[in-house]
Amino acid sequence: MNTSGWLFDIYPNRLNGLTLWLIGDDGQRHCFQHKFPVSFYAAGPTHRLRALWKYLSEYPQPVKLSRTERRDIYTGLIPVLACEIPNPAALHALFQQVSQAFPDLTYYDADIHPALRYAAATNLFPLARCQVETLGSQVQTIQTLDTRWELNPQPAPLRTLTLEPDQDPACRTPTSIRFQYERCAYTLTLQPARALLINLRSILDRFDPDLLLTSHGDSWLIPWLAEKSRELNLPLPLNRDPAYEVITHKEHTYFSYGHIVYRSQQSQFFGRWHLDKHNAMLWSDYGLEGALEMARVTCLPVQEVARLSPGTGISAMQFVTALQTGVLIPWRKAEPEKPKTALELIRADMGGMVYQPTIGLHENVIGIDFVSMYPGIMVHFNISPEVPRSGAALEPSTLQPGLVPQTLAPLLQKRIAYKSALFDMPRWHTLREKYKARSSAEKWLLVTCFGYLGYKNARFGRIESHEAVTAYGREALLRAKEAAEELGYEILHMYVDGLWLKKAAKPQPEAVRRLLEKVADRTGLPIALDGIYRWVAFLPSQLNQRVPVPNRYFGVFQDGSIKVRGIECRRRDTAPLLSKTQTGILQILAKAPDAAAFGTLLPEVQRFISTQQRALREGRLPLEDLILRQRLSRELDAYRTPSPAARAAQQLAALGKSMRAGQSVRFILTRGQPGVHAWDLPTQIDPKTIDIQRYQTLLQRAIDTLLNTLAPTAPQPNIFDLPPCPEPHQQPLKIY
Amino acid sequence: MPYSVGMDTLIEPSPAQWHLLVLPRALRNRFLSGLGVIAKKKPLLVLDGGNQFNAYLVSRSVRGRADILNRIRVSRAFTCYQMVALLHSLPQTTNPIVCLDFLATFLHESLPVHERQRLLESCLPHFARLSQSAELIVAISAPKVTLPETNPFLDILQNAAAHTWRPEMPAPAPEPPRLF
Amino acid sequence: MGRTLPTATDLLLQEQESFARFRRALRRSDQLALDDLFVSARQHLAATQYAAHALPFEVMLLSMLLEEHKLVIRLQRQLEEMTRRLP
Repeated sequence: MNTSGWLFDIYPNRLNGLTLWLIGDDGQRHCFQHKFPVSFYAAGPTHRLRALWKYLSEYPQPVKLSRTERRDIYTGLIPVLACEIPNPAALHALFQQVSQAFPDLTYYDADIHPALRYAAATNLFPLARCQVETLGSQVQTIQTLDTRWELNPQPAPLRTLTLEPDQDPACRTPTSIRFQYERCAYTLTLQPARALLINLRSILDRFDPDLLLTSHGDSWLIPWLAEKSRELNLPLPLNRDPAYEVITHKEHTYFSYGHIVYRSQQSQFFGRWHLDKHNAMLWSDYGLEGALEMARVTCLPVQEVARLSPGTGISAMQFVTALQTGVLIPWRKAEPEKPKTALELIRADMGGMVYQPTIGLHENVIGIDFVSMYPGIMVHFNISPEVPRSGAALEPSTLQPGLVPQTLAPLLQKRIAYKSALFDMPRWHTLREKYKARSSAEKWLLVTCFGYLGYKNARFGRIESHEAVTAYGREALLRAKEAAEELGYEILHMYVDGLWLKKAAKPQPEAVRRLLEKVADRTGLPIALDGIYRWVAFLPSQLNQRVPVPNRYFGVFQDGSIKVRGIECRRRDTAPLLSKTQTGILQILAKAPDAAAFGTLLPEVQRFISTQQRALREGRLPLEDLILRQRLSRELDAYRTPSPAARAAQQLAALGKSMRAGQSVRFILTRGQPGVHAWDLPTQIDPKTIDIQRYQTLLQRAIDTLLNTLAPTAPQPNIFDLPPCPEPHQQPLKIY
Repeated sequence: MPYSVGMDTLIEPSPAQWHLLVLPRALRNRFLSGLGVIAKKKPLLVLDGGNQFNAYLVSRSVRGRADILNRIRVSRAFTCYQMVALLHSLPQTTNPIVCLDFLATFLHESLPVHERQRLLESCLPHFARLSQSAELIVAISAPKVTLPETNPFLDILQNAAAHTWRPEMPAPAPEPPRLF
Repeated sequence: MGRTLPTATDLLLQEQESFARFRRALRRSDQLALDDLFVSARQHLAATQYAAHALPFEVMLLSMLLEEHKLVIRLQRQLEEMTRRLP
């Protein structure tokens, strides 16, 4: 039988091979099995490999063994023992035993996600258009009709059922759930639970959704439904595949890049997708469309990629490239750094170039940015762990592209293609939102790939490559600076991949074009205009007005749009009152065609500030505007002096709500002890206890950040205490 | 070749033996400066297991002399697998070798403790091998709190080392008597 | 895999602290002038970092001197301008 459609789900089945689900062109959901043997490899001294061979020949399940040669990315072709089993589901258990019995051997391709192995073998990925030939339910051949890099693929007709509890379960127990499927919506009360389950079952049977999109499904709803289903002995067809139970992974905390990261529990289905809007990476940034794009380019299943960090996505992409090009994927990263001299270390151990800005208000400023600088460098200059570096000469490599550039190049190209399509697309175009979401997903992957290159556990990470990228980045920035200065520009600020320049005259399009061309020519990297600012203010440190601070500025482009970095309204922990006040002030100032016009706008700014201050003083602000939000940097009992966030978390913990390191806590500042009231407490906060004074101080500081640069305070007194200048020949000159 | 650590401890490594140095945090900088002094006479190899090699400190101790700084080679290990691979691949040499904060990568809890112990034990034959021809000092950070139960990894190293040095900060000079 | 070496900003703070005893024994107005010298060095941290000099304090001193020189030139020009305008 021949079926065409979209590949929907893949997972190992318990018997043999993989289970595939297809959304057929015929409107049906098809379930097939595909025989898919998988291998891992072992390397080491010959006598040990022989012992492993003997061990595996006696293994209860059949393991096909062979001696062969494969490529290690660092050492080249090496002899390995290949171990193949027909059942991907059994690999994990087998490998556990082998690695414990023979811990001294080096292993490859041991813990690769089956979806990635499948993608490497067949070029298939989530929602790929494909054609399948089956005998019964066994796949004979499968062909892809699609690529991961397609900008506008034919969308699959996904059937989506949304489930929303009426309350946030973290604050109060929900009383009802709203179900929506296309135009039908039902609200069912949680009690009696039996009726809810029966109704849910009939909804699932009737609509057979592909995707269950929930709010708080991971943290509460699905586990609650699963528990009730067991209690009342009412099975729920959450999985389409009846052979499986819904998998719920427990919550856990781990350490990454010096921060504590918290992963809540999650529930995933078989043959159906469950996505929780509140537990999906960057959902607010790119939504379902972005999650689908992530799955498409990384080849990871949608349910998993939506919950994992972009670093896992980049890693997956590298694995697919490695599998397809015959490069072994090491189980444990072990390649050490080649020794450097102390001087070489001083030269190499640096980050991106960060120029101190020229503090103050500037007009007619040009902002230019390298487009995806670090990924661009990795691709254009062939930075990869196995490619030897010739030096920081910024010359394109003549060698074969390495694993890392091979992986990144099509992703970079696709992102650039989306950006240029969006540039020309009118605002009302139907594809606009989709393209923005997909482009955003790719941006996150690209942003992560550089950090990932230097990550100690990254299989193909290497510190020398990481350092090479920053070295090229600094070189590129300096060449851009030189090109701009040769054209008569003054450099105001540089920050890793962006420059701010100005000349005396107002920038003309022709001059800007010449500047960009010259920079692109000198550096070999694509550079784009971020915008021309009517005016921009680079801000000093809050502690000392003379100390410049990188990446802390606000400005208005020629088209009236505002750009802000590094101040309160950009930070996620700021109370909305402060963000709204700063944004409000900026919106008024944005009306000024140039800095000279500020004077006319200042009265309006003052009126706005007074309104905000009065509203705060008179207690007329909605409580939501006063919420501060901070992450817990450690477990509650590890605090010596609890931070405000920790004190708020303690209040929640006293009511049985556990707060883990890495979670963020919302609270309002109150007078006296303990000085905070956690926002998620069931008791309403008494407005009279709010610490208005502290908020006034915070508000004033946020206002001063903006206004001090625009209307500088009285000039500082002469701090050098110099006496009046002596008459010449009358007093010896004092030297200070 | 004596190694200076603290005011009154001088380590004299002996041939075909390696020494364990339990270094308190307060003496770390002084130890690093001492490495610069060693490099004045002989090329030195540093295996950094804890991201500790502050090249600027070392540089200052030799007044920035490039010829001396170029005689110190550093290799950083960020996982215990890397540290093991580093030791495994080191050729026999006569130049002194110093391991900095050696245990740091073995204390990462992401790996089960028995695996980390196995890896640590696999380093010992390499210490023995390398110390046949080169002076070898393995420095580890002194634990912040001395626990009633012993630290198994420290024990493993102590039992294999020819000698364990535990320098202490010299007692602060007594306060001069106040006039008023 | 994190950075191993202190950044130029860290180094500047360390150098500043190493002069704490010297600073303490200065008059208050001199203390402010000394602090201002270190602020001058802060204007050129990017170049100090990039220089990768084996003795970064020498580059910081050069940065302070650079700012002083700029001030002298500015004052010189102002003085010339004022003298030119005298009747």
